[in-house]
Parts: sequence; C-alpha cells; structure tokens
Amino acid sequence: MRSSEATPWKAFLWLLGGELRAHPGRAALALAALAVGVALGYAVHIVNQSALNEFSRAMASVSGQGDYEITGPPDGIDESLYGKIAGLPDVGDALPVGEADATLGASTPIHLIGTDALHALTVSPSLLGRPAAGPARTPLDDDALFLPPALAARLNLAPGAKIEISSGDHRAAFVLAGDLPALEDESGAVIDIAAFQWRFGHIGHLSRIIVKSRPGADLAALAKELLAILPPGMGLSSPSDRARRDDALSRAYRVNLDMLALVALITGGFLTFSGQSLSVARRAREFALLRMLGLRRSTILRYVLAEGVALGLLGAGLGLALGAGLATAAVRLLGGDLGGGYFHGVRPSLDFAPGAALLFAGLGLAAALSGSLWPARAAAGLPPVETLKGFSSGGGTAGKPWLGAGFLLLGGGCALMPPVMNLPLFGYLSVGLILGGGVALMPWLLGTMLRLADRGLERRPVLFLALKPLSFAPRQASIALAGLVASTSLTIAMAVMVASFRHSVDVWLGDLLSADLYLRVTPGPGAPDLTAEEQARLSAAAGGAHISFGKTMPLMLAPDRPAMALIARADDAADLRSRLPVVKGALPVSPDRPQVLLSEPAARLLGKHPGESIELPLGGTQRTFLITGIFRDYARQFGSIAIDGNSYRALTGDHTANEAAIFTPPGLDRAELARHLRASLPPATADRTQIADSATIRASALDLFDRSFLLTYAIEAVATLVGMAGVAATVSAQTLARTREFGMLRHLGVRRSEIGAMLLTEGTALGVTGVLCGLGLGGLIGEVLIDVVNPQSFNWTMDTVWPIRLLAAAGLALVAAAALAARLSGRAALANGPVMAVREDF
Amino acid sequence: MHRKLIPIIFAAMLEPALAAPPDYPAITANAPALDFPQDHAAHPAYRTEWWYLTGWLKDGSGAQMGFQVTFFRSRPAVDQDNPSSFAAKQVVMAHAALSDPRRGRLIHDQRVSRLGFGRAAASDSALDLALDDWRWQGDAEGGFSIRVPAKGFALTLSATPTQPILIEGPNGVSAKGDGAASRYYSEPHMAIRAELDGQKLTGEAWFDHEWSSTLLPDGAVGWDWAALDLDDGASLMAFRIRDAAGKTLWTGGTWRDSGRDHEGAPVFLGDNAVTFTPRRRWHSPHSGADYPVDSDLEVTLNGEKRLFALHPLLDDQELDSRLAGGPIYWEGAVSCAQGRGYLELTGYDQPFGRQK
Repeated sequence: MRSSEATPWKAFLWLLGGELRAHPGRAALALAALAVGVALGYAVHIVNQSALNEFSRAMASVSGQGDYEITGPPDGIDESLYGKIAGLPDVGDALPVGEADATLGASTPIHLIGTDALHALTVSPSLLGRPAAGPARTPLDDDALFLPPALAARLNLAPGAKIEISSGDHRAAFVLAGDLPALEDESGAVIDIAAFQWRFGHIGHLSRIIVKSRPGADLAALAKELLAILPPGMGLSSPSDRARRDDALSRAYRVNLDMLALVALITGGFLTFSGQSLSVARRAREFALLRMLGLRRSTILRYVLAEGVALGLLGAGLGLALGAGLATAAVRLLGGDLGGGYFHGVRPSLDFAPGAALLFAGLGLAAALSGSLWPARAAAGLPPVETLKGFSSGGGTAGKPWLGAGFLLLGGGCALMPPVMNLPLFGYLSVGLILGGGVALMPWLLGTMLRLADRGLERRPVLFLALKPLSFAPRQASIALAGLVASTSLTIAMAVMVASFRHSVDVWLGDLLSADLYLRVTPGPGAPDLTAEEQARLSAAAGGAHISFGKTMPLMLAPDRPAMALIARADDAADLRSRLPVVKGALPVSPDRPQVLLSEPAARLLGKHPGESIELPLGGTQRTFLITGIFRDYARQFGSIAIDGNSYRALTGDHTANEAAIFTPPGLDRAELARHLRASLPPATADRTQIADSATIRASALDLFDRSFLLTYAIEAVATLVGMAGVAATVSAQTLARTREFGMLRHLGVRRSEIGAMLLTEGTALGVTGVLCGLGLGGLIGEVLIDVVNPQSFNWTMDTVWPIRLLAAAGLALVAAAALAARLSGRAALANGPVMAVREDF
Repeated sequence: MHRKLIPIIFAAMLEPALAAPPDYPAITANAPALDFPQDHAAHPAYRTEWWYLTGWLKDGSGAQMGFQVTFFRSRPAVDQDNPSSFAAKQVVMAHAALSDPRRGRLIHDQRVSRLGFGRAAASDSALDLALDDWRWQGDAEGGFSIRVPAKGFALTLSATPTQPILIEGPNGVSAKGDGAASRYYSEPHMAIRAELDGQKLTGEAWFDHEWSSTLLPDGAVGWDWAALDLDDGASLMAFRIRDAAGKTLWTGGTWRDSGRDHEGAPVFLGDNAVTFTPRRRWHSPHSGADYPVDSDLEVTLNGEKRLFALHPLLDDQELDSRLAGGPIYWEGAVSCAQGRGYLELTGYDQPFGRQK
C-alpha cells in the first residue's frame, strides 16, 4: 500500500491524534501550566514597564530640562529663594513653578502649574504655552490658560473659551489662550505664576524652582553653590537624579515581581517537563513499534522535540494573550504600580512591548523545549524489542547525590555574595541553584527511601505493591516528584517570606506605636507647623494625658540621593531610645555629645555602624553626631535619622512641631480627648490636623501592606493551583501508565478495592514526600529571600516566621490533590475490567 | 515648536478686560521739555521704552565691526491689583549683537525677565538698567558703562558724549502720524572704548532713548529707520512708517549740521521729507523675509534733496529676538559716502506688533 511508504510524519500524526484523543486533559494541563507562566511573566513585566515609562515621562516633562530642581516642603518654598538662586554665579536661568491639584470646569481634575513664560523657554520649554490666534492672550495675561491639546480636545474647549478653575477654596475664571504642545503630563494646565499666586492663595510661595546652569558651568560646582544657600528642608535634585531615583525607588520591587513571575514560568517549565516525559514513557511501546517499523532514532528525537516546540508555541501564544488580558485587568484593579504604592496616581496606557513579548514567549518555548529534550532522548534511546515486550519502561539508576549536593552548596555560596548594582542578583541565582539542586536530588532521595522501605514492607502486600513500582521505575517517579517539589518549594518560600515580612511589620508597628493617640499636622501652602503657642494650648487641653511633640522633615544629604527623614521626637536620648524599635547598638547615652540613631536603610545606605560618627547639616551648619544605635523602619526606604527633641530644639532653635504622641491614663475616653485637643487649636490649624488612635493606624498600615502584596498573594495562589494541577497530572499519568499492571493484579485475585487502596497509598506517599521535600527546600529558599534578597533590595531586615497554618493547609491540599488524582485515575484505569486492561494498547 | 513662538512683549493688542488695567499716559505736542539727567532714567508708566546704542568699532588692525546693545522696558496690560511679586507689571528685555564681517553674520544674545527678585531692574531715578548679569549704568555727564557677558561674546564698553544731546522732534516729541508719538532724544557721535573677549576696541556710536504708549499709528506694520554719524560731525536720523502694502504712512527725522560746536538748532524733517528707495533686497534664509538692505535714503532739507546711498556692512544682520519675546527684524551696520551708522528694518517678517 502506498500509505505504508508515506512519510513518518503521518505515523506521528496518528500517534499525536491518539494521544490527544486518549488524554486531552493532560495536554491541556501542560499547555495551561506553560501559558500561565508566560502570562504572569509578561503581564507583570509590561505593567511595570508601562507604569515606569508613564511616570518618568510625566516627571521629565513637568521637570523640563533644567539641570537642577529645588523642591521644598509641602507648604512651599519662600519665593525670595528664587531671586537668590537666579543670582548665583553659575546659574544661567531659573524658573519659578507653583503647583496645585485643581479642578477644571465642573469636575476635571488637573495638575495646575503656574510658571513664568519668560524663562520657560530657556529652562523648561514644555511649560511654555503656545498662544492660539483667536483669543489675543499672551502667556503673561492674568487669565490666560494653556492646556495640552488632548485635554482641550477631550473637554471640547476651543481657544477663547471661558472656563473656571477651582483649587481648595479658591476659584477664578480663565480663557483658553492656547496649547502646550510639548507637555506630556496630560492633566497639566499652565497659567502665569503671578495669577497662580494671586488667584489660588499662594502669595509668597513657590512649589519648585528649576535651575539651568550657565553654559559651560561645572554642574558639581553649581550643586555646591545651591546646597550652600538652601535652607533646611529643601531638596535638590537633577531631573536625571529624579528619574534615577524614581527608578531606584521601585526597581527592587519590580525586580522582585519580575522574579516571581519567572518563578511561575519555571514551574510551568517543570510541569511541561514532567508531563512530556511521562507522556513519552507511556508511549514507549508505540515508539518501539515505530522503531521496529524502520524509523531512525533521530527521527523519533525530532518528533518528540517537535511536540515540545508545538506545545511551547501554543503555550507561549496563549500566555501572551492571557498576559495582555491580565495586565489590562490588573491596571484597572490595582493601578499602575500593581499595589506597590510607588507610582501614585499613575494610570498608564499599556505598552504591549513586542520585545518583552518575544522574550517571554522565548522563555516559555525554552521551558517547553528543555522539558522535552530529555524525554525525547529517552524515547529515541529505548531498546525496541525489550520495550515492546514490556520489560522496560525507561527504568534507570537511582541517581547520585553529587550533582544536587553541588548545586545546593553553590547556592549557599551565592547567598553570601553582595548585591550587584543594588540588586540581589546573586540572591536570585542562589534561589535558582537551590531549587535546581533540590530537584536534582530527588531521584537519589527516592531511591534511598525505597531501599529503606523495601526492608520493612514485604509483610504488607498492598503497601508493598504500591511502593514497588516506584522502585522499579524510580526515574518516572522522581520526575513526577520533581515537578511537585519545584512548585511546592517556591510557593512555600514565598509564603514564608511574606509571612515573615508581615509579622515583622506588625511587631514593628507595635513597638513604634507605643502611645495611645497620635496627632499629625498636614502642612499646606503657607501653613506652618504647630507653633510653640499651639503646642502649649494642646498640652493644656490634654489634661491628665501626657503629650510629647515631635517633628519629621526631609533632610538632604547629597543632591543625587533621595532625602532622608529627620525625626525629632521624645524629650531626651533615653526617652527616644525607648520609643523606637532599636535592633542594634546599645551604646550608653552620653549627655555631652549630640547623638542620633539611624534606621536600618539609613545605616546601610550610608555605610555607618553604631559607635561611629556622622556629619549632618542641622541648624544651618554641618555638625558631627555619634551614632548610638540602629532602629527598624519599614516606612522610609531611603532612610531616616532620629534625634531627641531636646537636642533638636537646642541645635536648631526650631520650636515648631508637626506631630505629637499622646499617652493617656487608663480609663480615659480617647475620642473625647481627641475632640478636646482639636477644639483647642485655631480653626485653620485644626482643619489640617489629624488625630488617630494607635490601633487604627496599625490596622490601616497592615491593610496597606496587604494591598501592596496583593499581587504577590495572587501569584502565590496561582502557583499553588498550578502545583496542585501538576501533582494531579503526574500522579494520574503514573497511574494510567500501569493499567496493564492492574489488570494483571486483578487476574491474580487482588480485589478492585484493594487496588484502589494501593493507589491511594501510593499517591499519598508521593504527595507526602513531595510536600516534605518542598517544605525543606522552600524553607531554605525562603531564608535566602528573607536574609539576602530583601535586605539587598530594600535595605531592611526581618525576622523569620513560619506560617504554620498556611503551610499545613497548602501541604494538605497538595497531598490530597495527589491522593485524589491517583484514586480517580485508578478508577478510570480499572473501569474496563481485567481482560481489556491486560490487552490495553494492542 | 520654537519657531512658532510668538513675541510676548509686542503683542499687546486686544487686551483682556481687566479689573484694574494699567493707565498709560498719552504724549501730546505740548509735553514738558525733556529734563536731564532725570529723563535718562526709566519712565515706567509708559507702555514701551528703549535705550539703544548702535555703532562701529575697530580693533588695533583697523578691522571694523558693528555692534548694538539695547534694553527694552515694557509695561504689559496685566491687572494692577495683583499683589504677587511676580505680577508682570514691568518686563525688561535686552539684546546685544555683533556684526563682524569676518564671521559673515550677526551674532547676538538676549535676556528677558519681569521686574523684581534681583533679576531685572529699570530705575526711574537714574539711568540704571539690570537684567541678570547684564548692566547699563549712566553717569552724570550723559555717558554710560555697559556690561553684557553674552552667549558667544563678552562685551564691556564705556560711552562718552562728544556732542550735546539731540532732541528728536520739537520739544523732544517725535510724531509718528495719526496721533501716535513718542518722547525721543539721541546722543550721536559718542566715543566708545570697548573690550570684546579681552580685546580692546574703539569706535563711535549713536545712542537713542525713546518711550511711548502709542508708538505706531493705525494701519502701520513696520518702519525703516536710520541713524548716521557723518564724518564731518553732522548727524542724521530718518524714518518712515509703512503700511501693509509697503506704502509710506508717515516720515520723520532730524538733521543737525556740522557747525563748529554742533550746537546749531536741529532741523526736524516733516512728513514726506524722507524717502527710502530699495536698490537691492536680501532674502533671509532664516525667516524667509526680504529686506531692502541696500537703499537710497533721500531727505529734503530746507528744500534741498540730499542722498545717502546706504550699504550694509554685511547682508545677514537679521536679529531674531523671539526667544526674548521680541520680533524678527533687520538691524545692521551701514555705511554711506558721508559716514556710518545703523539701519533698522522692521515688519518685513510679519506686521510689527501683531505677530501671531
């Protein structure tokens, strides 16, 4: 017949068709695992990238192209600083900028920018309005408003249109005078700085001053000149610093998320691997038949690889589509920062970067291919005769522990390495090596376990029968186990890390919030901190409660570094120490030398240790302080420095405050006290004052934490589900492959229920082993995440906590999935009766 | 986008309705006589004012170049009730330009700022103008010192009068037709000692000081203006104001002859006493405008026609001051058989004062 001479691909199509018809679920599962991995990776990546791009675009466009930018506290910069800066020898030009959140017309939120068109062109051209022909307004006119073309179009505003702008209690009418062709901030609206100050209550204040250097001036010298005249509380940065800082701010978080997504991808790869190898093992006799029919080894190798490629392509394609959908949904639900809180208010239009798509599709394909490579070689290498007779189903050695142990050791070594470019790259390498090492140890571990088990099981036939096949085909079993361990351990590692972090944050909040009530004053434009007189009023109103005032303000240490927070709090040094979660350094308090405590990030960023001294610009001069301790601070990633209130007031002469801790005697009605305190303040100050009790603050802080880890939780849940599905798939594959064996057993008189029990035992044994190994490996990886990856990414440490209940639940779920899958597929395998079972496949 | 920017200062038409608009004083023929040194200082109530120094410099080798330094003061139509220190109630703009034939084109730089914060100042008690680090300070004798550390060149100079002040029009009122007029006086033949990028130069320059609230009559789109320091010590200032069709709307000028002490009374050239006849136009590759850079200036003096055939020191003396909110115009060193001076051609790019 002609068809028998047809290409081998026809035979393969028959093979594939048969496989798909017989086990459609299994192919779908391998596909799903891969698709989910690619989807998560791609989605997280594009959301992150789009958000960052959007953010830096908006930033750069608002910041313009100045060389430096001076930013002030929230209540603004005294405008006299503008003239001083413009007069510096290395300053070429300077641009005053006032900014406020405002509403255009009835309800359109805008970012209102008041600036000086006469200097915008040289300093920041994107802020220069381009007058339209009609309304005869120049950018200097009091009522001239310039909008980005897209915003004007969206609101259907033509040049000459009158529209009201309101901000706070102020409102004023403007005329659309033209557009802002170069402004990328789509909600930006530019008016003259004088109109801004006058119409919106900002007389005397600016939000920012953008500085352009004199052509040819040395930027470092300019920075020095600027720093020399900046009053405390002012920040100095360059747009490139700012971009770099914004990038640094979220980079560690984004890299962590990207890595998490890669974990999902790796898990998908493992599941593809175990699925493919089992599928090959099951079709061993078909391959042997094809060999007998004259097909060459290389042809079979190519065929199995082609299956992997097809799987990979399909999975990657599905994954990209799913990822794009996921990203869209995530941005809608969580915002552009995926809950990380880094890009406040940024809602990016997603940029479905083709480069990233190719990368993640490529990774998915690679996972599928590498998952098929070994099975392909195994399939090609099967001895045809023996396989056909059923003697061999790919048995192998029990494996040597050296490779796995070597990987583990290397992983441990990597964990000791320092960060690279502020990223814990070695930490991630360590995670990968530990995972790989653990998985590589599985065959050896299984072999050893089975040898030990053999000795005690002969008297219990069901158990013996259940475990015996595992020892006959330890490679298959260990592949099943490897997939299980990989997904389990990564899930557990993430769970341990997040639980430890959350626990540490909780404990930290408890230490930090030692008072009962907290009062905070939000600075507003032109609104100062609490004056000494207002503090006295509050103290009087507090009655029997003790009130302790403090002040938190930005402290600029270097222009290219984000400002740290200076916290002046408590009365004396001993009091301060008792109110901070000090983790290191118990130096005696020496009254004769000014001293500070550094937060963990500050200590790491500055490379300082307790007992050393540090120079800080305080009270207008550089002063030397002794570092007496390190405290934990999860709130300020760029570091904070704490000084006791008495020293702060003595050194700076600043007696204002913007926060207070209130310690109430037992039995006092706190809500009543809060009302009382608020009533004692002048109304304008009271409006800006928030009073909250410590329990509320703690709850909302933890809520914030959970929100920022929402995505992490989601990925974790998906990884667990994929893991469960993987366990079920490997176990059921293992079971179905032995249909013939069960038929034999039935012939030998073993009852159906006994085989069922046997399968249940077998599935449970596999599940328990996998979960226990995953637990051990996951614990190790979790420890690397806690002690290496996190400190290197965020500069803070945490205490390890094992979320026992969560782990127990996840472990039980995984074991149950394995057992159930074995039982259910066993039922399918036994459904045809003994005769059909023995004849299976013939 | 920069090419499309409109001049800010000169686009003062059709102001918005303001609660407290600026009150610009008018200039009438019976204005009080000019009072020096007080009138060297700024007149902040008027809409527009400028101090203009144009002249020729030569270095040790005798090589010639033209220069101009100008400070403008403007009072934009903004609400006078605005209490903000940034309120643009006064704006100062300045340019400095060099016309060096060896460079082939004009080089210039400019500054602009609203008054205040130490960035811009125009004193109303003495000639003292400042714009960031640019400075123009007068002395009691009618001379002054100027410092312009500009982009591309650093120029400092001192100007000393060699002749009495020349008032441009009866009583120092220069009529521009149809009710438009300015207060206007000059100091021709000023002796200049300059230092340009460390190199010492000497020369002669013409100083103008003019202020007004209604500079041009309706329908005017620009003007041609020339001021010549003649070799025999005589001085000529002449202008014509053009409409959109290029027709002359108004002419004017002043002649002072070379009498021994130059104190002879100036002769004011009335309407129709001045003609500019283009001999050759230069097409600007920068703006696309065509300027009559070679012109015959003919004035009728006491019934007698006199011709001054003007030749530019170089063709490309176009000045684009849009970066500082000003117009594009041609302002260049010119010479004629009788002497040297400066020619100003405005409104050839677009109607002057109506740039959009």
